[in-house]
Amino acid sequence: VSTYLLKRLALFIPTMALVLLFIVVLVRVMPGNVIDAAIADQSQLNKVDRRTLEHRLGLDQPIYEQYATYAGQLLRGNLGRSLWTGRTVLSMIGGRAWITAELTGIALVMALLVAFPVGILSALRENSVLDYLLRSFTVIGLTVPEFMAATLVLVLPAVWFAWTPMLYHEPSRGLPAHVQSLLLPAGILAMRLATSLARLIRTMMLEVMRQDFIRTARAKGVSRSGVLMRHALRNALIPVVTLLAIDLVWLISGAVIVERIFGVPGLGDLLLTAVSNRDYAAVQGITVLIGLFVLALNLVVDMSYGWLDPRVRVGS
Amino acid sequence: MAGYWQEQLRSRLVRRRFLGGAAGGASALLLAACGSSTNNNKPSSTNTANAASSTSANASPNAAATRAAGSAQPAAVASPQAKRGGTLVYHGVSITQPMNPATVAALASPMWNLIGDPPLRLNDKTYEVGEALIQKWETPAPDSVVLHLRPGVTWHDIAPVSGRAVTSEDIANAINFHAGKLKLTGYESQQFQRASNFTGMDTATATDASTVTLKMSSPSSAIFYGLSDYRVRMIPKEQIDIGFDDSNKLIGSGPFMLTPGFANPREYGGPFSVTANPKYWEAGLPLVDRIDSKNITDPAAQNSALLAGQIDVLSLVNRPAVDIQALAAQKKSLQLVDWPYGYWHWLLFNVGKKPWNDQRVRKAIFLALDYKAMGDGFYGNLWTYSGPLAPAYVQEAIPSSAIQKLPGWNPATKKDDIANAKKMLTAAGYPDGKGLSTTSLIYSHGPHFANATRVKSQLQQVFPQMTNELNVQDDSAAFFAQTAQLTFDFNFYGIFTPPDPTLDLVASYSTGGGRNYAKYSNPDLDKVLSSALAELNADPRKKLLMQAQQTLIDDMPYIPLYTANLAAIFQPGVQGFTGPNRPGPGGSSYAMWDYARYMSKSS
Repeated sequence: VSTYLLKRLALFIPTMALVLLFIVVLVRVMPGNVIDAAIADQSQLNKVDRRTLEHRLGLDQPIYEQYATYAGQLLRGNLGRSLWTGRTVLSMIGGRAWITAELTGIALVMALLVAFPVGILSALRENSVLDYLLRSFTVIGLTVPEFMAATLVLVLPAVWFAWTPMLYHEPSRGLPAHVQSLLLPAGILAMRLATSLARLIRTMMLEVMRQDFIRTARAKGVSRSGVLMRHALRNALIPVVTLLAIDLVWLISGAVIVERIFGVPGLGDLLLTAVSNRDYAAVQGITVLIGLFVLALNLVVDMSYGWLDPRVRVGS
Repeated sequence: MAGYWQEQLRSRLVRRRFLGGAAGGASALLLAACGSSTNNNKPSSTNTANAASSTSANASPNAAATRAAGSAQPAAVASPQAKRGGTLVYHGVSITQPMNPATVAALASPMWNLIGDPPLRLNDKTYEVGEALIQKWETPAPDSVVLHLRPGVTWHDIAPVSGRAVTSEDIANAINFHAGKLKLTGYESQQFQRASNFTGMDTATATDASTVTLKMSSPSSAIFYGLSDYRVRMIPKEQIDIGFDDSNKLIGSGPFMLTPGFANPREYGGPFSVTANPKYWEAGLPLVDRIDSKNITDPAAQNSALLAGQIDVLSLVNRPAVDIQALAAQKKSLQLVDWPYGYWHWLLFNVGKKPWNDQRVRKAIFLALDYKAMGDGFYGNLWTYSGPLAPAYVQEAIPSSAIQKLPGWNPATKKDDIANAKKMLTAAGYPDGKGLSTTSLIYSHGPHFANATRVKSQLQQVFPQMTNELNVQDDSAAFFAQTAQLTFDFNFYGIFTPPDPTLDLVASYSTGGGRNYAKYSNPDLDKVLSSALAELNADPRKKLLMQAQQTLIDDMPYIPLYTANLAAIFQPGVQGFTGPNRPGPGGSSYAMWDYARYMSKSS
């Protein structure tokens, strides 16, 4: 296992190098750059010397040199400074990433708390009225876009009852209120994950429940809950865990919109602003962070297969 | 000049008493003064710079119009005595940048308008430069401006200045900082956004304990407007070493001060709170104890928060009239306040490209368009006719009432104008627009897009053989990149005007001007503008600026479509906001934060 782990960790570096190359090139080929965004809208008497600014920001270098410089900085743990604000990207990301982690963490817990009971219940009551109701619920959850749900839950109560859910409340003004202010955006964020997971859990449970080993377990007198939890659910989990890993990345993407609507100053909000400002260093820094998160997540998922199903041997 | 603030306070109290005491009668007076309903499709009388009125409420033609939201009735908003204390909650910008007033001037301005003071402030009524931290000033020679500090003003009680007195060294240093004249290292030296306010200034020096002298390399009439820009806020000299990254360590002398620990790096990007400065130098101000800023980006969420009472004040920038009306209809007790001359919309010709290098073609397009339809279409009645110099420059601009009567803008002569437009375009070789295949570059899907679609539709009616494609760029960097590459025939954008009228014309129309995106060049105009910049006396400068405006109307390198009013909605109990009146100190929605010190909340 340790050799496998080392191999996978070693693969991180070329993978991140490729991800970084992709992002460094992509943000620079977008029309307009940080100087367009920064100075074009100012009523300067004389145009700021564009070349001087480009030189100062290192934008006059060829892209491959900019890439090499940034990769070198990164290896030394330096994410660079924002071209727009001059702050270190690490300090910008630090505070924001924590808020996004809180939001997505709550959303993940909510999604799991809904997905498993719904998926299992739906499988156990296959083709019953309850099953149809739960499946309809999951279809709604999958089809309603997050931005629409978020807007409706804010606007409709405001119009009907002159009340709207609490918008973002920072922790220094009270932790309970802070957590409360994150519940609704997290719930909306969790909706898609919960429903897609629930549908997969139902399908996998139905498939596993029809396997011979389940029949054998029942014949041996294992209790219903024992069959369900120890044999059926555990065997159904491998594709569920895989989907969970993929959906977690989608959760972070979804946070971009939900954060904007609920005024949550998280990573998504920062990324949108950075892209709009062509703040290459900030975009790169956030992308590196997300890239590392995805790679780590994939590693955890791969490692979990062996635990979930001993027939799967990690590294074989 | 010495009694300026006392006079300001007195006049505001009189206004409050008038508004509050007159009860039902005030509604009628204000209704007469404000003129129009929100549905009559005409600019209100208060929207025109020189609107004639015999009512006391309209004595200041540019005063903000307060209306009961959702109806034509202006609100009787104020109680006889403004209540002290309480917390106001603004929807506002967050701490998303280092709060550096020189390098991110506009975004940092809400915070700095609350905690900082400018050197000078414009008088709301006369539009003349008035005192603030600078109490007196003189220009003993064309190359020298002497500023005398207000005595007894102290910085906030925050380390390391810990409430010490504001000194001439602080002010000189802060002016040099805004002007980009300090030798700084690293990123602080990148952009000094208000540096153009200090055109012609070499350096500011503290000549004695209470005097600052500005050494000028060339005389500049813009310097006083520049010093009264709402974005130019004074800071102690230690602030530059402290930096602006830590929002807990911002020090001003203004009416509000930071609540210790109100923000920390983990909450970077979050909202902020300020509390009243008990030692503020303007006696009796501020009125509220605390101001909270809530960071809400999404317009639907902003509306919901207002309807639910989570915020007391919502500024409405570039919001369509239909949106404002719908919001107001939901809660009729809300107060809608609008003030004219805020946001200038234009159509810019690519004058270096054929056929836009032909003045006849530009003029034909100008005459063919219906500006009333454009303004009404997006903003309802919250807009104003505008010439080359926005009517916000009340002293120097051709007033909107006069612009409205000129060919092209005048709705009454539209038929004749269109006939002339057709003749002109035929004479230029494009009968009925034949051979004119055009592209409009548009910034975002807001009012600029609305203007561009109306221009397209109107031109198709007048010149049926002309074609026009719309290229909308929601991304500002992409829009400005294409603007710089001149990949357009018409360019639709808009801007809050800078504080000084001469600088505005220089930036937009002079050869090499920073906002002269189409690279228009008229050497005669350049000379007039240079003379205006160097002319320190108001009357001859006004003559020169009038001459420049007439040249621009004749030549029409830009079409000034109109200026949109700025508007804000207040909860019923909020009082004291009269509305800023002109650009710079009052031209941007951010500037309304400067008025927070006058505001109170009765419930």
